[in-house]
Amino acid sequence: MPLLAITRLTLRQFLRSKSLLVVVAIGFFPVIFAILPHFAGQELTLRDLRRVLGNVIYLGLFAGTLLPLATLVLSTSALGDEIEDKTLQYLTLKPIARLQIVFAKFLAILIVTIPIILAGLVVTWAVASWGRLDDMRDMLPPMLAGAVVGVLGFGAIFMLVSLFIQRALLVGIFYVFIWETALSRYLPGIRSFSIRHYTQSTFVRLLDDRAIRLDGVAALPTIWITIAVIVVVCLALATWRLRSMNLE
Amino acid sequence: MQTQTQSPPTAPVVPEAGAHTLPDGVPSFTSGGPATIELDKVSKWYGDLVAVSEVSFAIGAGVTGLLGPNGAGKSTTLKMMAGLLAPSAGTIRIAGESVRGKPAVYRRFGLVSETELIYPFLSGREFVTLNAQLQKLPNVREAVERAIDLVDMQSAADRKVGGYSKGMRQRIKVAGALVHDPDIILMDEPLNGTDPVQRAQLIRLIRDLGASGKTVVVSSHVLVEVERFAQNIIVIVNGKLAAAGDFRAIRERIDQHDHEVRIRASDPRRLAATLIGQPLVRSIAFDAHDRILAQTNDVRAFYRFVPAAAQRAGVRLYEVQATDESLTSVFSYLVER
Repeated sequence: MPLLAITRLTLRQFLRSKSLLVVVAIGFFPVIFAILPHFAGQELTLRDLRRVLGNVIYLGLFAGTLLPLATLVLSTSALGDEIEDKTLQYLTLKPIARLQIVFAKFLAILIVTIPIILAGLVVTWAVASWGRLDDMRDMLPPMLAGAVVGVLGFGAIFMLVSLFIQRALLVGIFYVFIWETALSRYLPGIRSFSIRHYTQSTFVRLLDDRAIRLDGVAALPTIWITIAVIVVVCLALATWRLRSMNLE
Repeated sequence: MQTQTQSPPTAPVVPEAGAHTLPDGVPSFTSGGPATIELDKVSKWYGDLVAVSEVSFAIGAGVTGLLGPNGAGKSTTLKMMAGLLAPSAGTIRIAGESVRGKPAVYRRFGLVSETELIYPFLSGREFVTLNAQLQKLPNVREAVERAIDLVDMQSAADRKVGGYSKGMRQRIKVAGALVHDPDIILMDEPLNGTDPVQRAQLIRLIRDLGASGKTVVVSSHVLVEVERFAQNIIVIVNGKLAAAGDFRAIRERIDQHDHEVRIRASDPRRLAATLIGQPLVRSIAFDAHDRILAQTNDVRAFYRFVPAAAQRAGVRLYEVQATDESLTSVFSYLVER
């Protein structure tokens, strides 16, 4: 019951916050890019259209920049806002395990972020594929699966960061643009330490289209295990932090 | 420093195994019974700033007032007692146990914090229900209604907390802290922002809680308030224990020092003319906002006298309150003594 009560509370916090509009705006931003091919002078070949949606929109724009930004907003506010507003004590001064608080918050992040992100992707796919839906159908499930992997990883990391850093949102934005967008794209060693790489790898592996390629793509078992480890470690560290931190 | 033991209240709280005994000479308000809350040389510092310095005392059942000027270290002490802050040095035991890292202790524990914010999108009833659910109470609805009744908030319980006055927020916070019927209750300035009627209700509730055998610690910077509900007072000034004991003894010592009282009235000049010449008024001045600043050597008699004098002069009173500077001066005087 405490777990559900905290999850419900957090969902209500999210649903009344302006941050939710930011997440929706970021989640649906790729739709703009999905429209552009329809205004090209001549109709794109199916191969080119798949490259635009797969390489440019999903691998280039969505996985490394938009997905982490959208996840960042709610992940840092789930516990960060409670610390800033000094309302966290209403949860911590209760006979409930700290893990329950952390898990309930993480659950709320997933419940709100995943549907918004997936809805944005579905619309993006539908707009880009308009008129050729049957030929493009196989791209949608890998896109959605990759997004879920990304939300899990980014959500756990950003929620943890918000327990250590007061301005977690700013730090997160810095991280997204420097680490996930710039460094991990060009430095192969860093790639395997970026969530972006696992999002992209999930998409590429599940799609299995020769036209859509990725350097050093991770195997699916590696992806699942890595993301599971990241989530477990982040939740464990967040639990420890919540237990030991001072609440002014 | 004065230490005094009061006559035993009903049904004292019995600490669990492992109860600790503080050294002789440490202020102890345990009614001869076991201590529920023990602080042993507790300090808290932030870099070079010392917020609380080597504070020790033991508290048992009944109401204990934690008195001191703003910024004295009362809230920091209460937060350490609640486990929100880790002491930099010293130990705190609640019912014989350390609080931090042991959430199970909070079954017996209620804190009314000084924080203004409550989730503004919840109604008062939803906020109290949240507290009851997080306490894993078997009969949430019954507990919630009982707690809301305690603070007389039934009529406003379904309104959003965001629309509450400060006094209403204080009362719903009290309801949230009491919903699980804890036997240890910490309240940080619970009377802040309450109107006279709400204040009287809360004071009655605090006294009832103490009389029923619960351990209640209430912080305040207003002595005349604290003495209405607390048998014992612990005075903290500049992070140090300045005095501890029966409120009458401390009041006598405080009364030996002049107080400055600020009065806001509809016609301050006419009221001042009435006050000048009274034996308990040492001097009268006006501040930049045309409020009366009266120096008095008997603040209690002065508080009784002013409303009557205002009525006689046909002046409406808006505020009668000791100034913060005056309180700091009075409490510092205790330390010097």
